[in-house]
Amino acid sequence: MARVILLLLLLCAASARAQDADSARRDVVDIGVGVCAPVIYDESFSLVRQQGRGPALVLAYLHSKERSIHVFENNLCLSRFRSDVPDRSYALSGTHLQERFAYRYLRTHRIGQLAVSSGPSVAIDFAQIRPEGLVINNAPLHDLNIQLQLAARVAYPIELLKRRFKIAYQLDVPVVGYNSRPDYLGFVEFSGKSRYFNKAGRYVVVNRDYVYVKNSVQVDVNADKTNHVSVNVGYYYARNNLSRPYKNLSGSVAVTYSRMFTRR
Amino acid sequence: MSTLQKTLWTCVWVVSAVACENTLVAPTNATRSAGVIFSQASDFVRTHSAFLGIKNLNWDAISARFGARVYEGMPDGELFDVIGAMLLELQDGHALLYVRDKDVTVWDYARGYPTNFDKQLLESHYWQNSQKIGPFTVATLDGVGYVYYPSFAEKVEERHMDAVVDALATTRGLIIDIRSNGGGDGANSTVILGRLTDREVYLGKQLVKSGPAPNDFVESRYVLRPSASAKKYLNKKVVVLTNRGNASAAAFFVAFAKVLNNVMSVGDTTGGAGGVGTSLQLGNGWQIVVSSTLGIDANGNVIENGIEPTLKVDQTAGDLLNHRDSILEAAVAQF
Repeated sequence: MARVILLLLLLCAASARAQDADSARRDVVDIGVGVCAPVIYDESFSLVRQQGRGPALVLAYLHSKERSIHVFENNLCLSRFRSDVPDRSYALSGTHLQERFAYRYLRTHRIGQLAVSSGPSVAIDFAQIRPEGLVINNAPLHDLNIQLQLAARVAYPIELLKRRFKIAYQLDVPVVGYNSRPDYLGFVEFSGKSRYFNKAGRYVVVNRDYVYVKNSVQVDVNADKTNHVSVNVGYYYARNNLSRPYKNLSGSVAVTYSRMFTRR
Repeated sequence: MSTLQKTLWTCVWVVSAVACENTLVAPTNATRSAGVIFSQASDFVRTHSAFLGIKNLNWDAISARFGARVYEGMPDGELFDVIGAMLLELQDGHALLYVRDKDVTVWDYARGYPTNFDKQLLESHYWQNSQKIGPFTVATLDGVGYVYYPSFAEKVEERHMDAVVDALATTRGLIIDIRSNGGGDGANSTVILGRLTDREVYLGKQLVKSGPAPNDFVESRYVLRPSASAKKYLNKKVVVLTNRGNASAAAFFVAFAKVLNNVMSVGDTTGGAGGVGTSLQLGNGWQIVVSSTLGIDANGNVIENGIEPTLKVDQTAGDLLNHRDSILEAAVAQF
């Protein structure tokens, strides 16, 4: 899937033609709250999936001038999870925290009303799973990534029921990353190569065993107004099979208040 | 809308549509099947136990023997007993099956050996002038410092060690009593041992299970670094009191302490669980644990086999009748 997404990003960048010369500077601040629902599979402690529910927080700042866009975005999801086992009385429970900060530099091209933006980004991606009631090694597990990514954004305005909307789809795919997902053996952080234990840290080029993707759809209501409300539906997907398999699919829905400042 | 735009939007929605959990977060492995649960447990032991090689266990034969007692639809309690009995074959102090508050009887290293420890005797005859510092009971016996540490599950903080070193600064030597300490968090070892050295010391290594074959291991080194605190207990003899009840982190502590030149042990050979336990939640929610590393100290001793004392002393029934802790008194006599 990673290859398909990379191809899509390249397609976006290559096919777009510079047509727009919007000289306005725009600053947009977004604050949003919502819910998130991660599904986690982590063989560090379990053979079954853990299903979570909890609040989500979105903070973002966007600065654009002419065809360049700088985006700072922070997504936080804090959830309680339970094991997805047939007899719920045997389930483990715990807390899952997911934090992702990304900075994107995008260049925008217009194809008619369609705005296609793409460019590099840097993301700090942190997830911590704290199972409760593990009989041994009852310690938090973390997955930290610092990634250089390719980012793409496609936006399209629509008019419906005499109101103006804007739909934007955004996608982040890492190219290279530093991954830290250590196991502790007693009091020593494991640093060797083992099928069953995670090495402390390593540099990784994206491949079928290391895929982190974040995509989201944002619908802006009354998009042309200074203050407006938008709805964000996002999916975050992590697949890390570098040693013990770890997968995390987290869906979120957030309602965001946006304040826009425009200068000419 | 142009063909290109249509293509782009189609790609967008395809990517979004594939974000479904059953495709992306497989496998589930969740099951009620007794046969599958037994297989998951057996496979976990086969791939993660570090003790199969040194104990010459043919796990396929053991698994087949217990697997013959498993049938679909068997009650949970019966399946629990079969897997629990299979785990006892490992003779591993970490090996257990955990279901809420009911865990299987774990391998008892101390069975058949003298207990060599009576806490009530210590309280009534040796600890009259003791004080509590964090998890420790601290006393002075004939000018010798004495520290009792009941469990490595009790956290040792640097401030506790500062207070212990202050309290025992003028003593002739130190006795660390960890008899019947069954282990806990090995990180507490480094906090204690870091006060007994002013240089880095190679303590030993772990052979960490790295693949499915019994002897698939990689090495991980233990290096002791001196505490950053200036309050240390250096250049004096240290005696560690041991018995068969010392397992896991406590057994590691004894082996690693004896790597230091000024440390000896008095009492009995330590117990086992000489590795680090690893757990896994099975498809029905139960948890299984085995030792998946094999600890070896810098002197080449396999910790699972027990660390013999420098001075072997047993506490006899006569000693107890006379209210004597013969192991403690033998330790005091070393100074």
